[in-house]
Amino acid sequence: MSLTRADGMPSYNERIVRMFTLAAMFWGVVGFTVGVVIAFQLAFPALNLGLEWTSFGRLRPLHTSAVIFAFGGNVLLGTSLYVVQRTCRTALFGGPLFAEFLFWGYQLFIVLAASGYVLGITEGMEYAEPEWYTDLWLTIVWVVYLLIFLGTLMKRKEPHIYVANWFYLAFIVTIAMLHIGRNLSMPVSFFGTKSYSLFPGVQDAMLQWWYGHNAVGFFLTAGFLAIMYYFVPKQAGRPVYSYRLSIVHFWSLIFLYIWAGPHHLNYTALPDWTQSLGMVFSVMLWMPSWGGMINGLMTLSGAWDKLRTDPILRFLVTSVGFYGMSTFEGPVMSIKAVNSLSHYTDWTIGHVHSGALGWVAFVSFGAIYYLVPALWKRQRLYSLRLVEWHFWVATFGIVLYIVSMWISGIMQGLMWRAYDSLGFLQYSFVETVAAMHPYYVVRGFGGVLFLIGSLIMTYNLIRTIRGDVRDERAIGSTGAVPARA
Amino acid sequence: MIKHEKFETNSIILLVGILLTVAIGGLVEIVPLFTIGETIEKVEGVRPLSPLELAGRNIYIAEGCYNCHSQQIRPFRDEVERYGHYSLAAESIYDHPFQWGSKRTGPDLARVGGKYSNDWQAAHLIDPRSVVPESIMPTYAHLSEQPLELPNIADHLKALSIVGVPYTDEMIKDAAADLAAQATPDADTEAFLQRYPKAAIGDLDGDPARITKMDAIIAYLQSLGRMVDFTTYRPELGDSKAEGGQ
Amino acid sequence: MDMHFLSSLARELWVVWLLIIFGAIVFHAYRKRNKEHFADCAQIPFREDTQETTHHG
Repeated sequence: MSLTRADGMPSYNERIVRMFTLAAMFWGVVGFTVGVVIAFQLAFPALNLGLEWTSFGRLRPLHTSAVIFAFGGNVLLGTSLYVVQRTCRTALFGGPLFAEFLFWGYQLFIVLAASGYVLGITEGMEYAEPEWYTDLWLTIVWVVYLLIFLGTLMKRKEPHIYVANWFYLAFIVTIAMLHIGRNLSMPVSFFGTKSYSLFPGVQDAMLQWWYGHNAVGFFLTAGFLAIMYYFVPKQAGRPVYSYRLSIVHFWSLIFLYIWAGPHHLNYTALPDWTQSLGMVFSVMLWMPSWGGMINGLMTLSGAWDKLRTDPILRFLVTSVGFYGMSTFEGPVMSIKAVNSLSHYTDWTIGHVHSGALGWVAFVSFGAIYYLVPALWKRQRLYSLRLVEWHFWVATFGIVLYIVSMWISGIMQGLMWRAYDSLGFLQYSFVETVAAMHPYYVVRGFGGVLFLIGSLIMTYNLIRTIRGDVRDERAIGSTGAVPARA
Repeated sequence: MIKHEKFETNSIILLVGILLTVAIGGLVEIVPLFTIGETIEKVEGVRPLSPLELAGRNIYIAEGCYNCHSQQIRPFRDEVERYGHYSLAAESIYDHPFQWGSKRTGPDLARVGGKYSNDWQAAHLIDPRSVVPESIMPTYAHLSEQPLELPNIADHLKALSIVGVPYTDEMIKDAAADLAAQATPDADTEAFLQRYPKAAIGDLDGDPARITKMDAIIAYLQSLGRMVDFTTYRPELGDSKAEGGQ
Repeated sequence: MDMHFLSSLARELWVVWLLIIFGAIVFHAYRKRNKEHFADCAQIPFREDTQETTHHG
């Protein structure tokens, strides 16, 4: 199984990582584009086109699944297979056959899920929308993934399992559990697409946010923390600030996260103790999150000057900063008094995107910029200047997005509860909708900038893969970095 | 306690450690909720959806309405005044899956039933801006153009009865007939209304000639929040959620 | 009785168990004896082979 080359070096499977990297970029651009479309649909409803397949309700799951599972998922699968081979110093378990099955199986899952949404085939549970047959298929693919990853860990040449692999393993195992638990359902018939969730009302809601919140915790957090723990040290050229802290970070994160789900259901028909417990654990989560952030940021201690000259490192470090910001905002929003205002409004959407764009996407961009020259054996990227442009354009886009959603969210929350001097509700619902219009436009433009950034990246990566090197002045070489944004 | 080195050097132990941590945490969190299933007292009036309403609910889900509309009124003064009595746990005991939602791009729909006429609902779904100029809702004209074709509606009721919704054998047997009866003007609906009290009947979509998806979605929307009679409902008897409020 | 009693007991025990585990992990991580070991672990990403291959195996 473990093929070695004539010189005794393990022969890593890099082809599969290249495929996942390309898939991630492709789905990323698709997902961001759909995001921009639905953002403008809320500002200009004519963009729904009057067709059943292009309405907001059908495209929104397409957007969330495309960015989370297609873009994020391909990044996680690709980087995990890269990292586990190198930190274990051994080739993938199962050989090319398992790896190729994992790749094509996962892409098939994405296509099955996405085509279903557009045709109106959905279970109607946020972030777990694919119907039962797609769920079954993903389960098979995921088991193969676990086998590959665990098998590679077991045949490693390195006595210790590097901490990034713990995070990846926690991600794989927990997502398997969440996926199966959430999707238990009763198909209407063997040849039909429709199924009904096994669980009724309150229990179903509880299960939903146990799933939904932990998908954030283990898909969008643990998995990408693994990326942080490998790629930040590699790009900075120095080991992680504190390996000891990373151990504490890991266990406390997985202990606490699993409890925090009920904060999505504050003030609903869920029992009170569950809501309070969810709130307490959500606030406690602040500690491991910030421990992890400090660990990532301090890895640069003594090498902060690299941030000025290395835009890839800047992506990685900024992502850790956004991680700190959104993991601070999250617990604040889980406090019942705050939640009573923020829930059901755009504030939640802004919060999600500060995590999704600032943390998940930025750390992914950093990892991909690191990986592409390494995987295609190029000396360096086609252009670091373009990376710099990508960074500033995307960052400006995120700022527009978050700020407009803060304002619209808080404003709408306050308008809903405003009373006039006679003691009547001051605004009809539709008045609060009309008031959102300018912020929806600004948010849309923020999304456009983020999308432009990803297109700059795609161009840069294509030129890199073709082997081109742009003749350009090194960043910081003259000391004058052009001021932008 | 197990030495941590074991976790770091033995991948299976690491796997089991992770699994135990997340599984036990999840179980301790979730299992009690299945015991409260028995303590959610059945509030009088809550019934399973009629076949046509169920078909409408499935359209509601397929169109992704839950992405913009919640069905969960929180116990705040402004919400109760805007939407009606706060939602009870018992009101969603037959919902598979729940549709409480997480975002109100549009208003809450938990008690939209009976608030607007069938005509208004049809006009609004076909072109929302014809009745609410500032609305940003997509148009759903296709629902009135497409006939509702559900030859296996009885199988849907059967599947739901397997997961615990109390559809009787009679309800399942007559599902197709009940579906037709609800949306056909002047049909004999006596037996139907005994099975599904308060269901909206007749030509719902303004097209008496056939049963469309529009008939189904309007039947569902008109059923929302109307099952419990709040003029006679006494919270201290049947409401396990009162303590969740304030 | 009852599931409510049992579940509240389970919750309390679980919190205690969490604290014990957490303490043990912190103790283990910050024990002086392990310092060098962990410093060595942090070097793992830099130990991979520098010779790489595009051939997939």
